Amino acid sequence: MNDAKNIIKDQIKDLVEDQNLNLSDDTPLIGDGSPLDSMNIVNLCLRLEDIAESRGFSFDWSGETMSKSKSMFKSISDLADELSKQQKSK
Amino acid sequence: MIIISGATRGIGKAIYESLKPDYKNVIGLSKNGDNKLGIIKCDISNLSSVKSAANEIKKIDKKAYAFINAAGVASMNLALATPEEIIKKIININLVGTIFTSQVFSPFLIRNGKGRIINFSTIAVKLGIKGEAVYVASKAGVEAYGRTLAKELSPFKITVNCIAPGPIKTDLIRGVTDKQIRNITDQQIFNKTMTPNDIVDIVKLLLSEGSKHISGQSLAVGGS
Repeated sequence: MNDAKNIIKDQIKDLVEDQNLNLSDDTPLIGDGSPLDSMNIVNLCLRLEDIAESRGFSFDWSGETMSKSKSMFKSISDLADELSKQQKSK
Repeated sequence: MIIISGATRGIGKAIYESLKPDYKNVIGLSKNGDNKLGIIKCDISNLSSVKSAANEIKKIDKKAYAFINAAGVASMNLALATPEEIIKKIININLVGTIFTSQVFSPFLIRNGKGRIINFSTIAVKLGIKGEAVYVASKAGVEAYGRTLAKELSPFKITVNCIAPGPIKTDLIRGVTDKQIRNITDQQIFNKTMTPNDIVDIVKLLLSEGSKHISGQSLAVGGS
C-alpha cells in the first residue's frame, strides 16, 4: 500500500513537473485541491496501467465514477488502495 | 494502427478493406470475428467483450491512430409500436456500444499522441424520417456523445466526428423499399443514393492531417 502511494506521488510530481510538490496521502485527485487537471488524471491512469503491466497485473480504471464521495480519485490513499486491491486480485 | 468495428459487413467492411493497403496495422472488430485474419471477435454492446478485444489488440500495439466505429443496427418500426427487444438492441449496439468502445479504445489514441475517432450517425437525424424513431434517437445520442467527447479529448490532439450518410445500399437497409429510399434522397442536397466508397472518401478525409481541427462535427453525406 505504501509502495502504491509512493508510486502515485512520484508519477504526479513527474506529470506536473514539480519534484518539490507537497503531497499527502489525503491529497485529492479531483475537485478543489487536486494538483491534476482532467488531462493529467487520464495520463496518470495510463502510467499506472503500464506500471501494473510491468508487475504482471492489469489496472482497470474504465467505468470509474468521478463522484467525490465514491471515486477512487477521492485521494491518493484511495487510488493506492484500489491499485493494491487490483494487484492482489490478479 | 487503425481499429474498425463492424468490419465484416457493409460500410465497415468497405472501410476495412480500403484502408488495409495504406496502414501497417488495420484491426477489424466483429461479432463474428475469429481472432484470425485481423478480425477480432467483439460485441460492442458488451463491455467485457470490448475490454477482451482491447487486450488482444494490446498484444499487437498499445498505440492506435484511429478508432472507426462502424458497427450498427437499424430497424424500421412505427415509433408507437416498436417492440421492447428491438428498442433495447438498437440503443445497446448503436449508442451504448459507441460509449463502451470510446471508453476502451480512446487510451490507445492518447498513447499515440494524436488521433481520430469516427462514429456513424444517419442523415435521418436531421431529416426526421418516419419509421426510424428509435434508430434516429440512438444516432442522435451518438452525435451528442461525440460532441462532448470531442471537448474532453481535444487536449490530447484527438478529434471526434460523425459521418451521417443517407441511404447506402448495404444489408443495414435491406428492408427499405426503393420508393422509401427515393423519399429520403429527394430531401438530400445531392438527390442520389451514395455508395460505400463515397463514405470511404469521407473517412479518408477525416483521417488526413488536414482535418486535425475538425472535431465535434456531424458530416451529412449527400447533404441535408
